[in-house]
Amino acid sequence: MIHSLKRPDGCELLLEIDDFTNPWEDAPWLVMVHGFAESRQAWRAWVPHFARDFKVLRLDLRGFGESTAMSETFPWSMEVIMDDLQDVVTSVCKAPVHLIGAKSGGTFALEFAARFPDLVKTVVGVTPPVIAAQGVEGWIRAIKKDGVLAWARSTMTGRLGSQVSEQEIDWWVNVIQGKTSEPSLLGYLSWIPSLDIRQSLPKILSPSLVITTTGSGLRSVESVRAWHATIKGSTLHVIEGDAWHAAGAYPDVCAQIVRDFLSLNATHATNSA
Amino acid sequence: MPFVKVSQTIDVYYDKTDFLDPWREKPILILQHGNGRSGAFWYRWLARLSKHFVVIRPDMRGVGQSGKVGDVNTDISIEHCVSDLVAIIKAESHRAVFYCGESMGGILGIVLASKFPELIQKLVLVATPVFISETMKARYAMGHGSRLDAMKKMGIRQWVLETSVLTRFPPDCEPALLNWYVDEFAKGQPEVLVRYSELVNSANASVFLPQIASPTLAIMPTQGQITDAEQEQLLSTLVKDIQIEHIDSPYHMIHLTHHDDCIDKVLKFLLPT
Repeated sequence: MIHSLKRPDGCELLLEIDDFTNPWEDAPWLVMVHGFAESRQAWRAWVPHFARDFKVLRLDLRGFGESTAMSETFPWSMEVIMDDLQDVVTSVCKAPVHLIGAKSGGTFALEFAARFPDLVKTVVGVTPPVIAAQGVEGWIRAIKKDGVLAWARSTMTGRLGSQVSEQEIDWWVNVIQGKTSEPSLLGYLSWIPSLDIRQSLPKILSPSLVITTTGSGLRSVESVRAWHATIKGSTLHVIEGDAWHAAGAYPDVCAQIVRDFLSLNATHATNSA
Repeated sequence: MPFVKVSQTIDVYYDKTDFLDPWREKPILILQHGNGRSGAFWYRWLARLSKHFVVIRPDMRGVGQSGKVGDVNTDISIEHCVSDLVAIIKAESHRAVFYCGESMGGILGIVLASKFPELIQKLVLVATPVFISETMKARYAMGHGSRLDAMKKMGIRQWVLETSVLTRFPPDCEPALLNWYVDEFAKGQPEVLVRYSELVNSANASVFLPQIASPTLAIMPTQGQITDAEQEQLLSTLVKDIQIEHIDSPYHMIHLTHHDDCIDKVLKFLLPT
Protein backbone atom coordinates (compact mmCIF):
# COMPACT_ATOMS: atom_id res chain seq x y z
CA MET A 1 0.00 0.00 0.00
CA ILE A 2 1.37 3.40 -1.02
CA HIS A 3 1.13 6.42 1.27
CA SER A 4 2.29 9.98 0.97
CA LEU A 5 3.42 12.02 3.98
CA LYS A 6 3.50 15.78 3.48
CA ARG A 7 6.23 17.59 5.43
CA PRO A 8 5.89 21.18 6.66
CA ASP A 9 8.14 22.48 3.85
CA GLY A 10 5.88 20.92 1.22
CA CYS A 11 8.09 17.90 0.51
CA GLU A 12 6.02 14.74 0.00
CA LEU A 13 7.59 11.53 1.25
CA LEU A 14 6.49 8.38 -0.56
CA LEU A 15 5.96 5.41 1.76
CA GLU A 16 5.11 1.82 0.87
CA ILE A 17 3.75 -0.59 3.46
CA ASP A 18 3.65 -4.37 3.05
CA ASP A 19 1.76 -6.15 5.78
CA PHE A 20 0.98 -9.89 5.72
CA THR A 21 0.60 -10.16 9.49
CA ASN A 22 -2.55 -11.45 11.18
CA PRO A 23 -5.07 -8.63 10.66
CA TRP A 24 -6.30 -8.71 14.26
CA GLU A 25 -2.84 -8.36 15.78
CA ASP A 26 -0.94 -5.14 16.35
CA ALA A 27 2.26 -6.33 14.71
CA PRO A 28 5.51 -4.38 15.19
CA TRP A 29 6.84 -2.05 12.50
CA LEU A 30 10.04 -2.56 10.55
CA VAL A 31 11.14 0.64 8.81
CA MET A 32 13.66 0.39 5.96
CA VAL A 33 15.82 3.36 4.94
CA HIS A 34 17.66 3.24 1.62
CA GLY A 35 21.05 4.74 0.83
CA PHE A 36 22.36 7.48 -1.42
CA ALA A 37 20.87 7.76 -4.92
CA GLU A 38 18.44 4.90 -4.35
CA SER A 39 14.79 4.40 -3.45
CA ARG A 40 12.56 1.99 -1.54
CA GLN A 41 12.89 -0.35 -4.54
CA ALA A 42 16.37 -1.25 -3.28
CA TRP A 43 14.68 -3.29 -0.52
CA ARG A 44 12.27 -5.28 -2.68
CA ALA A 45 13.96 -8.67 -2.15
CA TRP A 46 13.98 -8.08 1.61
CA VAL A 47 10.24 -7.65 2.04
CA PRO A 48 9.11 -11.32 1.81
CA HIS A 49 11.53 -12.18 4.62
CA PHE A 50 9.74 -9.89 7.06
CA ALA A 51 6.19 -8.99 6.02
CA ARG A 52 4.55 -12.01 7.70
CA ASP A 53 5.86 -10.86 11.08
CA PHE A 54 6.26 -7.10 10.70
CA LYS A 55 4.45 -4.24 9.08
CA VAL A 56 7.23 -3.38 6.64
CA LEU A 57 7.48 0.31 5.77
CA ARG A 58 9.89 1.40 3.04
CA LEU A 59 10.25 5.09 2.40
CA ASP A 60 11.78 7.14 -0.36
CA LEU A 61 13.97 9.72 1.37
CA ARG A 62 13.35 13.29 0.29
CA GLY A 63 15.02 14.02 -3.03
CA PHE A 64 14.99 10.35 -4.08
CA GLY A 65 12.68 7.82 -5.68
CA GLU A 66 9.13 9.13 -5.89
CA SER A 67 9.48 11.60 -3.02
CA THR A 68 9.79 15.27 -3.93
CA ALA A 69 13.08 16.12 -5.65
CA MET A 70 15.25 18.73 -3.92
CA SER A 71 16.94 21.65 -5.64
CA GLU A 72 20.73 21.75 -5.96
CA THR A 73 20.81 24.53 -3.34
CA PHE A 74 18.59 22.73 -0.81
CA PRO A 75 20.20 23.04 2.63
CA TRP A 76 20.67 19.34 3.42
CA SER A 77 21.40 18.55 7.04
CA MET A 78 21.16 15.64 9.45
CA GLU A 79 18.35 17.52 11.21
CA VAL A 80 16.20 17.59 8.06
CA ILE A 81 16.52 13.83 7.57
CA MET A 82 16.00 13.09 11.27
CA ASP A 83 12.84 15.24 11.27
CA ASP A 84 11.50 13.34 8.24
CA LEU A 85 12.15 9.98 9.90
CA GLN A 86 10.67 11.16 13.20
CA ASP A 87 7.49 12.23 11.38
CA VAL A 88 7.25 8.84 9.65
CA VAL A 89 7.61 6.96 12.95
CA THR A 90 5.30 9.15 15.02
CA SER A 91 2.64 9.97 12.39
CA VAL A 92 2.42 6.72 10.46
CA CYS A 93 3.74 3.95 12.69
CA LYS A 94 2.56 5.61 15.91
CA ALA A 95 4.80 3.25 17.90
CA PRO A 96 8.50 2.52 18.43
CA VAL A 97 9.93 0.69 15.43
CA HIS A 98 12.60 -1.70 14.36
CA LEU A 99 14.79 0.40 12.11
CA ILE A 100 17.10 -0.79 9.36
CA GLY A 101 19.19 1.20 6.92
CA ALA A 102 21.64 0.38 4.17
CA LYS A 103 24.73 2.43 3.24
CA SER A 104 24.02 6.06 4.22
CA GLY A 105 20.49 4.90 5.13
CA GLY A 106 22.27 2.84 7.81
CA THR A 107 24.09 5.97 8.94
CA PHE A 108 20.74 7.71 9.35
CA ALA A 109 19.26 4.70 11.17
CA LEU A 110 22.14 4.65 13.70
CA GLU A 111 21.94 8.43 14.21
CA PHE A 112 18.17 8.21 14.66
CA ALA A 113 18.57 5.45 17.27
CA ALA A 114 21.06 7.63 19.15
CA ARG A 115 18.78 10.68 19.09
CA PHE A 116 15.40 9.00 19.68
CA PRO A 117 15.90 5.96 21.92
CA ASP A 118 12.20 5.95 22.79
CA LEU A 119 11.23 5.53 19.13
CA VAL A 120 13.59 2.68 18.27
CA LYS A 121 13.22 -0.91 19.47
CA THR A 122 16.21 -2.25 17.54
CA VAL A 123 18.49 -0.80 14.89
CA VAL A 124 20.41 -2.41 12.02
CA GLY A 125 22.99 -0.77 9.77
CA VAL A 126 24.05 -2.65 6.64
CA THR A 127 27.46 -1.37 5.45
CA PRO A 128 26.89 2.09 6.96
CA PRO A 129 29.58 4.77 6.69
CA VAL A 130 30.04 6.66 9.97
CA ILE A 131 32.16 9.30 8.26
CA ALA A 132 31.87 10.36 4.64
CA ALA A 133 33.69 8.23 2.09
CA GLN A 134 36.56 9.76 0.16
CA GLY A 135 36.12 10.81 -3.44
CA VAL A 136 32.85 12.70 -3.26
CA GLU A 137 34.33 15.61 -5.24
CA GLY A 138 35.16 13.19 -8.04
CA TRP A 139 31.55 11.96 -8.10
CA ILE A 140 30.27 15.55 -8.36
CA ARG A 141 32.63 16.23 -11.28
CA ALA A 142 31.59 12.98 -12.99
CA ILE A 143 27.85 13.68 -12.62
CA LYS A 144 28.24 17.25 -13.90
CA LYS A 145 30.37 16.12 -16.83
CA ASP A 146 28.67 12.91 -17.98
CA GLY A 147 25.29 12.82 -16.20
CA VAL A 148 23.72 10.58 -13.57
CA LEU A 149 23.41 7.46 -15.73
CA ALA A 150 27.10 7.36 -16.70
CA TRP A 151 28.17 8.04 -13.12
CA ALA A 152 25.87 5.29 -11.81
CA ARG A 153 27.24 2.79 -14.31
CA SER A 154 30.86 3.65 -13.51
CA THR A 155 30.36 2.95 -9.79
CA MET A 156 28.07 -0.09 -9.96
CA THR A 157 30.57 -2.95 -9.98
CA GLY A 158 32.17 -1.78 -6.75
CA ARG A 159 28.74 -1.27 -5.27
CA LEU A 160 27.34 -4.70 -6.16
CA GLY A 161 30.56 -6.75 -6.30
CA SER A 162 32.36 -8.82 -8.89
CA GLN A 163 29.67 -11.54 -9.12
CA VAL A 164 26.96 -9.18 -10.32
CA SER A 165 25.36 -9.88 -13.73
CA GLU A 166 25.08 -7.34 -16.54
CA GLN A 167 21.28 -7.49 -16.28
CA GLU A 168 21.41 -6.66 -12.58
CA ILE A 169 23.75 -3.74 -13.22
CA ASP A 170 21.40 -2.46 -15.92
CA TRP A 171 18.46 -2.48 -13.49
CA TRP A 172 20.31 -0.67 -10.73
CA VAL A 173 21.71 1.85 -13.21
CA ASN A 174 18.61 2.48 -15.34
CA VAL A 175 15.79 2.03 -12.85
CA ILE A 176 17.26 2.93 -9.46
CA GLN A 177 20.26 5.23 -9.51
CA GLY A 178 19.97 6.60 -13.03
CA LYS A 179 16.47 7.92 -12.33
CA THR A 180 17.61 10.02 -9.38
CA SER A 181 17.10 13.75 -9.81
CA GLU A 182 20.44 15.35 -10.65
CA PRO A 183 19.84 18.49 -8.53
CA SER A 184 18.98 16.26 -5.55
CA LEU A 185 22.18 14.28 -6.07
CA LEU A 186 24.44 17.28 -6.43
CA GLY A 187 22.96 19.10 -3.44
CA TYR A 188 23.21 15.98 -1.28
CA LEU A 189 26.78 15.31 -2.38
CA SER A 190 27.85 18.84 -1.47
CA TRP A 191 26.57 18.21 2.09
CA ILE A 192 27.76 14.63 2.57
CA PRO A 193 31.51 15.38 3.18
CA SER A 194 30.52 16.86 6.56
CA LEU A 195 28.87 13.60 7.65
CA ASP A 196 30.37 12.20 10.86
CA ILE A 197 28.23 10.30 13.39
CA ARG A 198 31.05 8.81 15.48
CA GLN A 199 30.10 10.92 18.51
CA SER A 200 26.55 9.57 18.36
CA LEU A 201 27.43 5.87 18.39
CA PRO A 202 27.95 5.52 22.19
CA LYS A 203 24.47 7.01 22.70
CA ILE A 204 22.75 4.08 20.98
CA LEU A 205 20.92 2.14 23.69
CA SER A 206 18.68 -0.20 21.71
CA PRO A 207 19.89 -3.63 20.59
CA SER A 208 21.90 -3.07 17.43
CA LEU A 209 23.45 -4.99 14.57
CA VAL A 210 25.97 -3.89 11.97
CA ILE A 211 26.66 -5.92 8.83
CA THR A 212 29.79 -5.39 6.75
CA THR A 213 31.63 -7.27 4.01
CA THR A 214 35.12 -8.75 3.90
CA GLY A 215 36.12 -7.22 0.59
CA SER A 216 34.51 -3.79 0.45
CA GLY A 217 36.49 -1.35 -1.62
CA LEU A 218 35.36 1.49 0.65
CA ARG A 219 36.30 0.31 4.12
CA SER A 220 38.19 -2.49 5.83
CA VAL A 221 36.66 -4.83 8.39
CA GLU A 222 39.23 -3.51 10.92
CA SER A 223 38.06 0.08 10.43
CA VAL A 224 34.45 -1.01 10.98
CA ARG A 225 35.42 -2.98 14.11
CA ALA A 226 37.07 0.13 15.51
CA TRP A 227 33.97 2.30 15.46
CA HIS A 228 31.56 -0.57 16.06
CA ALA A 229 33.27 -1.22 19.42
CA THR A 230 31.95 2.13 20.65
CA ILE A 231 28.30 0.93 20.42
CA LYS A 232 27.35 -0.76 23.68
CA GLY A 233 26.46 -4.42 23.33
CA SER A 234 26.22 -4.26 19.57
CA THR A 235 26.59 -7.23 17.24
CA LEU A 236 28.88 -7.10 14.20
CA HIS A 237 28.30 -9.60 11.42
CA VAL A 238 30.95 -9.86 8.70
CA ILE A 239 29.87 -11.59 5.50
CA GLU A 240 32.05 -12.79 2.65
CA GLY A 241 31.86 -10.63 -0.43
CA ASP A 242 33.46 -7.81 -2.33
CA ALA A 243 30.36 -5.59 -2.70
CA TRP A 244 30.19 -2.46 -0.59
CA HIS A 245 26.40 -2.48 -0.89
CA ALA A 246 25.71 -5.79 0.84
CA ALA A 247 21.97 -5.08 1.23
CA GLY A 248 21.64 -4.78 -2.55
CA ALA A 249 24.11 -7.46 -3.58
CA TYR A 250 23.30 -10.14 -0.97
CA PRO A 251 19.72 -9.45 0.13
CA ASP A 252 18.77 -12.99 1.16
CA VAL A 253 21.96 -13.54 3.18
CA CYS A 254 21.58 -10.20 4.93
CA ALA A 255 17.86 -10.66 5.55
CA GLN A 256 18.46 -14.01 7.24
CA ILE A 257 21.10 -12.43 9.51
CA VAL A 258 18.62 -9.69 10.40
CA ARG A 259 15.83 -12.23 11.03
CA ASP A 260 18.12 -14.11 13.41
CA PHE A 261 19.00 -10.84 15.17
CA LEU A 262 15.34 -9.83 15.46
CA SER A 263 14.27 -13.24 16.73
CA LEU A 264 16.71 -12.75 19.62
CA ASN A 265 15.86 -9.12 20.23
CA ALA A 266 12.24 -8.69 19.23
CA THR A 267 9.10 -10.47 20.25
CA HIS A 268 6.60 -11.55 17.61
CA ALA A 269 9.19 -12.77 15.11
CA THR A 270 8.04 -16.36 15.13
CA ASN A 271 6.04 -16.89 11.96
CA SER A 272 7.89 -18.63 9.19
CA ALA A 273 8.83 -16.59 6.14
CA MET B 1 -3.68 -1.71 -7.87
CA PRO B 2 -4.97 -3.30 -11.06
CA PHE B 3 -8.46 -3.83 -12.33
CA VAL B 4 -9.58 -5.47 -15.56
CA LYS B 5 -12.73 -4.25 -17.23
CA VAL B 6 -14.63 -7.42 -18.08
CA SER B 7 -17.85 -5.81 -19.33
CA GLN B 8 -19.30 -2.34 -19.85
CA THR B 9 -20.22 -2.15 -16.17
CA ILE B 10 -18.05 -4.68 -14.30
CA ASP B 11 -14.45 -4.26 -13.15
CA VAL B 12 -12.61 -7.14 -11.55
CA TYR B 13 -9.85 -6.36 -9.06
CA TYR B 14 -6.68 -8.33 -8.47
CA ASP B 15 -3.82 -7.75 -6.10
CA LYS B 16 -0.32 -8.19 -7.47
CA THR B 17 2.60 -8.93 -5.14
CA ASP B 18 5.96 -8.69 -6.87
CA PHE B 19 9.25 -8.66 -5.01
CA LEU B 20 11.21 -10.71 -7.55
CA ASP B 21 14.45 -9.49 -9.12
CA PRO B 22 13.35 -7.37 -12.09
CA TRP B 23 16.29 -8.57 -14.18
CA ARG B 24 15.25 -12.23 -14.03
CA GLU B 25 12.30 -14.08 -15.52
CA LYS B 26 9.31 -13.84 -13.19
CA PRO B 27 6.93 -16.82 -13.00
CA ILE B 28 3.34 -15.90 -12.14
CA LEU B 29 1.18 -17.74 -9.63
CA ILE B 30 -2.55 -17.05 -9.43
CA LEU B 31 -4.15 -17.63 -6.03
CA GLN B 32 -7.91 -17.87 -6.42
CA HIS B 33 -10.14 -17.72 -3.37
CA GLY B 34 -13.27 -19.79 -2.92
CA ASN B 35 -16.96 -19.13 -2.47
CA GLY B 36 -17.74 -15.84 -0.71
CA ARG B 37 -14.17 -15.07 0.27
CA SER B 38 -11.69 -12.68 -1.37
CA GLY B 39 -7.99 -12.44 -2.16
CA ALA B 40 -7.42 -11.08 1.35
CA PHE B 41 -7.90 -14.60 2.76
CA TRP B 42 -4.55 -15.67 1.21
CA TYR B 43 -2.50 -13.29 3.37
CA ARG B 44 -0.69 -16.13 5.16
CA TRP B 45 0.69 -17.41 1.85
CA LEU B 46 2.22 -14.24 0.48
CA ALA B 47 5.54 -13.97 2.32
CA ARG B 48 6.78 -17.41 1.37
CA LEU B 49 5.35 -17.56 -2.14
CA SER B 50 6.44 -14.08 -3.17
CA LYS B 51 10.07 -15.16 -2.82
CA HIS B 52 9.51 -17.36 -5.87
CA PHE B 53 6.55 -15.98 -7.82
CA VAL B 54 4.72 -12.85 -8.77
CA VAL B 55 1.56 -13.62 -6.81
CA ILE B 56 -1.76 -12.48 -8.27
CA ARG B 57 -4.88 -12.67 -6.12
CA PRO B 58 -8.11 -11.95 -8.01
CA ASP B 59 -11.28 -10.97 -6.16
CA MET B 60 -14.14 -12.74 -7.93
CA ARG B 61 -16.61 -10.34 -9.54
CA GLY B 62 -18.87 -8.70 -6.97
CA VAL B 63 -16.71 -9.51 -3.90
CA GLY B 64 -13.71 -7.94 -2.17
CA GLN B 65 -12.48 -4.90 -4.03
CA SER B 66 -14.02 -5.90 -7.36
CA GLY B 67 -16.77 -3.64 -8.61
CA LYS B 68 -20.42 -4.33 -7.93
CA VAL B 69 -22.44 -6.39 -10.36
CA GLY B 70 -25.92 -5.61 -11.64
CA ASP B 71 -28.30 -8.56 -11.65
CA VAL B 72 -26.52 -11.30 -9.72
CA ASN B 73 -28.35 -14.05 -11.61
CA THR B 74 -27.20 -12.90 -15.03
CA ASP B 75 -23.85 -11.33 -14.05
CA ILE B 76 -22.45 -14.11 -11.90
CA SER B 77 -21.81 -17.57 -13.33
CA ILE B 78 -18.96 -20.08 -13.47
CA GLU B 79 -18.41 -19.10 -17.12
CA HIS B 80 -18.13 -15.42 -16.14
CA CYS B 81 -15.63 -16.19 -13.37
CA VAL B 82 -13.50 -18.28 -15.74
CA SER B 83 -13.53 -15.62 -18.45
CA ASP B 84 -12.51 -13.04 -15.81
CA LEU B 85 -9.50 -15.21 -14.96
CA VAL B 86 -8.61 -15.47 -18.65
CA ALA B 87 -8.74 -11.66 -18.89
CA ILE B 88 -6.45 -11.28 -15.87
CA ILE B 89 -3.96 -13.86 -17.13
CA LYS B 90 -3.83 -12.25 -20.58
CA ALA B 91 -3.38 -8.80 -19.01
CA GLU B 92 -0.43 -9.97 -16.94
CA SER B 93 1.33 -12.67 -18.92
CA HIS B 94 2.13 -13.70 -22.45
CA ARG B 95 2.67 -17.30 -21.43
CA ALA B 96 1.17 -20.01 -19.22
CA VAL B 97 0.93 -19.36 -15.48
CA PHE B 98 0.76 -21.43 -12.32
CA TYR B 99 -2.71 -21.58 -10.77
CA CYS B 100 -3.73 -22.47 -7.24
CA GLY B 101 -7.36 -22.34 -6.18
CA GLU B 102 -9.00 -23.22 -2.89
CA SER B 103 -12.44 -24.84 -2.74
CA MET B 104 -14.58 -23.13 -5.42
CA GLY B 105 -11.39 -21.40 -6.64
CA GLY B 106 -10.18 -24.90 -7.50
CA ILE B 107 -13.40 -25.65 -9.42
CA LEU B 108 -12.71 -22.55 -11.50
CA GLY B 109 -9.15 -23.84 -12.00
CA ILE B 110 -10.46 -27.19 -13.26
CA VAL B 111 -12.70 -25.48 -15.82
CA LEU B 112 -9.98 -22.99 -16.79
CA ALA B 113 -7.31 -25.67 -17.26
CA SER B 114 -9.64 -27.85 -19.32
CA LYS B 115 -10.90 -25.07 -21.60
CA PHE B 116 -7.68 -23.04 -21.86
CA PRO B 117 -4.84 -25.53 -21.51
CA GLU B 118 -2.42 -23.09 -23.12
CA LEU B 119 -2.84 -20.70 -20.15
CA ILE B 120 -2.12 -23.09 -17.27
CA GLN B 121 1.34 -24.52 -16.69
CA LYS B 122 0.55 -26.37 -13.47
CA LEU B 123 -2.66 -26.60 -11.46
CA VAL B 124 -3.06 -26.83 -7.68
CA LEU B 125 -6.39 -27.63 -6.06
CA VAL B 126 -6.65 -26.98 -2.33
CA ALA B 127 -9.65 -28.55 -0.55
CA THR B 128 -11.49 -28.51 -3.85
CA PRO B 129 -14.72 -30.47 -4.26
CA VAL B 130 -15.73 -31.76 -7.69
CA PHE B 131 -19.34 -31.29 -6.61
CA ILE B 132 -21.21 -30.69 -3.35
CA SER B 133 -22.64 -33.91 -1.95
CA GLU B 134 -26.24 -34.23 -0.78
CA THR B 135 -24.95 -34.77 2.77
CA MET B 136 -23.12 -31.44 2.71
CA LYS B 137 -26.09 -29.66 1.17
CA ALA B 138 -28.22 -30.89 4.07
CA ARG B 139 -25.58 -29.92 6.64
CA TYR B 140 -25.22 -26.40 5.24
CA ALA B 141 -29.04 -26.01 5.31
CA MET B 142 -28.70 -25.85 9.12
CA GLY B 143 -32.23 -27.17 9.67
CA HIS B 144 -33.77 -24.92 7.04
CA GLY B 145 -35.12 -25.95 3.65
CA SER B 146 -31.80 -25.39 1.88
CA ARG B 147 -28.43 -23.66 2.22
CA LEU B 148 -29.87 -20.62 0.46
CA ASP B 149 -32.90 -20.54 2.78
CA ALA B 150 -30.55 -20.81 5.75
CA MET B 151 -28.36 -17.92 4.53
CA LYS B 152 -31.40 -15.74 4.00
CA LYS B 153 -33.20 -16.61 7.23
CA MET B 154 -30.22 -16.77 9.60
CA GLY B 155 -28.43 -13.81 8.06
CA ILE B 156 -25.02 -14.17 6.42
CA ARG B 157 -22.97 -13.55 9.55
CA GLN B 158 -24.77 -16.11 11.72
CA TRP B 159 -24.85 -18.67 8.93
CA VAL B 160 -21.16 -18.37 8.20
CA LEU B 161 -20.29 -18.46 11.91
CA GLU B 162 -22.29 -21.63 12.58
CA THR B 163 -21.17 -23.45 9.42
CA SER B 164 -17.57 -22.41 10.04
CA VAL B 165 -17.59 -23.99 13.49
CA LEU B 166 -19.21 -27.08 11.99
CA THR B 167 -17.07 -27.63 8.90
CA ARG B 168 -14.34 -25.04 8.29
CA PHE B 169 -12.32 -24.60 11.48
CA PRO B 170 -11.31 -27.07 14.17
CA PRO B 171 -12.43 -26.51 17.77
CA ASP B 172 -8.86 -25.61 18.80
CA CYS B 173 -8.53 -22.96 16.07
CA GLU B 174 -7.36 -19.49 17.17
CA PRO B 175 -10.62 -17.70 18.14
CA ALA B 176 -9.32 -14.47 16.56
CA LEU B 177 -8.87 -16.23 13.21
CA LEU B 178 -12.45 -17.53 13.29
CA ASN B 179 -13.80 -14.09 14.24
CA TRP B 180 -11.79 -12.39 11.53
CA TYR B 181 -12.93 -14.96 8.96
CA VAL B 182 -16.59 -14.43 9.83
CA ASP B 183 -16.29 -10.62 9.84
CA GLU B 184 -14.41 -10.58 6.55
CA PHE B 185 -16.81 -13.02 4.88
CA ALA B 186 -19.85 -11.07 6.09
CA LYS B 187 -18.58 -7.91 4.36
CA GLY B 188 -19.89 -9.30 1.07
CA GLN B 189 -23.24 -8.21 -0.33
CA PRO B 190 -25.79 -10.83 0.83
CA GLU B 191 -27.32 -11.35 -2.63
CA VAL B 192 -23.85 -11.89 -4.13
CA LEU B 193 -22.89 -14.38 -1.44
CA VAL B 194 -26.18 -16.25 -1.87
CA ARG B 195 -25.64 -16.35 -5.64
CA TYR B 196 -22.13 -17.79 -5.27
CA SER B 197 -23.47 -20.40 -2.86
CA GLU B 198 -26.12 -21.29 -5.39
CA LEU B 199 -23.44 -21.72 -8.05
CA VAL B 200 -21.19 -23.89 -5.94
CA ASN B 201 -24.12 -25.97 -4.74
CA SER B 202 -25.10 -26.85 -8.30
CA ALA B 203 -21.59 -27.10 -9.78
CA ASN B 204 -20.22 -30.41 -11.01
CA ALA B 205 -16.75 -30.28 -12.50
CA SER B 206 -16.54 -34.02 -13.34
CA VAL B 207 -17.01 -33.47 -17.05
CA PHE B 208 -13.98 -31.16 -17.21
CA LEU B 209 -11.52 -33.42 -15.39
CA PRO B 210 -10.43 -35.58 -18.37
CA GLN B 211 -9.54 -32.44 -20.37
CA ILE B 212 -6.97 -31.19 -17.84
CA ALA B 213 -3.59 -31.46 -19.57
CA SER B 214 -1.39 -29.71 -17.01
CA PRO B 215 0.27 -31.53 -14.12
CA THR B 216 -2.08 -31.24 -11.15
CA LEU B 217 -1.66 -31.38 -7.38
CA ALA B 218 -4.65 -31.76 -5.08
CA ILE B 219 -4.13 -30.98 -1.39
CA MET B 220 -7.03 -32.38 0.59
CA PRO B 221 -7.98 -32.57 4.24
CA THR B 222 -8.14 -36.11 5.59
CA GLN B 223 -11.74 -37.05 6.37
CA GLY B 224 -12.79 -33.90 4.51
CA GLN B 225 -16.47 -33.16 4.97
CA ILE B 226 -16.74 -31.33 1.65
CA THR B 227 -13.96 -33.14 -0.18
CA ASP B 228 -14.65 -36.76 0.66
CA ALA B 229 -13.17 -40.03 -0.60
CA GLU B 230 -15.60 -40.20 -3.52
CA GLN B 231 -14.37 -36.83 -4.74
CA GLU B 232 -10.74 -37.87 -4.47
CA GLN B 233 -11.53 -41.04 -6.38
CA LEU B 234 -13.02 -38.98 -9.20
CA LEU B 235 -9.94 -36.76 -9.35
CA SER B 236 -7.46 -39.60 -9.35
CA THR B 237 -9.44 -41.56 -11.94
CA LEU B 238 -10.26 -38.77 -14.36
CA VAL B 239 -7.29 -36.35 -14.23
CA LYS B 240 -4.43 -37.65 -16.36
CA ASP B 241 -1.47 -36.34 -14.35
CA ILE B 242 -2.46 -35.80 -10.73
CA GLN B 243 -0.94 -36.33 -7.33
CA ILE B 244 -3.03 -36.11 -4.19
CA GLU B 245 -1.53 -34.98 -0.90
CA HIS B 246 -3.25 -34.81 2.48
CA ILE B 247 -3.39 -32.45 5.41
CA ASP B 248 -4.37 -34.09 8.67
CA SER B 249 -7.62 -32.27 9.40
CA PRO B 250 -11.31 -32.97 8.91
CA TYR B 251 -11.95 -29.24 8.46
CA HIS B 252 -12.19 -27.39 5.19
CA MET B 253 -10.12 -24.20 5.62
CA ILE B 254 -6.72 -25.90 5.48
CA HIS B 255 -5.25 -23.02 3.52
CA LEU B 256 -5.72 -20.88 6.64
CA THR B 257 -5.27 -23.41 9.44
CA HIS B 258 -2.40 -25.40 7.85
CA HIS B 259 -0.94 -22.78 5.54
CA ASP B 260 2.72 -23.71 6.04
CA ASP B 261 2.09 -27.41 5.37
CA CYS B 262 0.10 -26.49 2.25
CA ILE B 263 2.80 -24.09 1.06
CA ASP B 264 5.49 -26.75 1.55
CA LYS B 265 3.57 -29.05 -0.79
CA VAL B 266 2.85 -26.29 -3.31
CA LEU B 267 6.50 -25.19 -3.50
CA LYS B 268 7.70 -28.78 -3.85
CA PHE B 269 5.26 -29.26 -6.74
CA LEU B 270 5.82 -25.95 -8.53
CA LEU B 271 9.52 -25.27 -8.16
CA PRO B 272 12.01 -26.96 -10.47
CA THR B 273 14.01 -29.67 -8.74
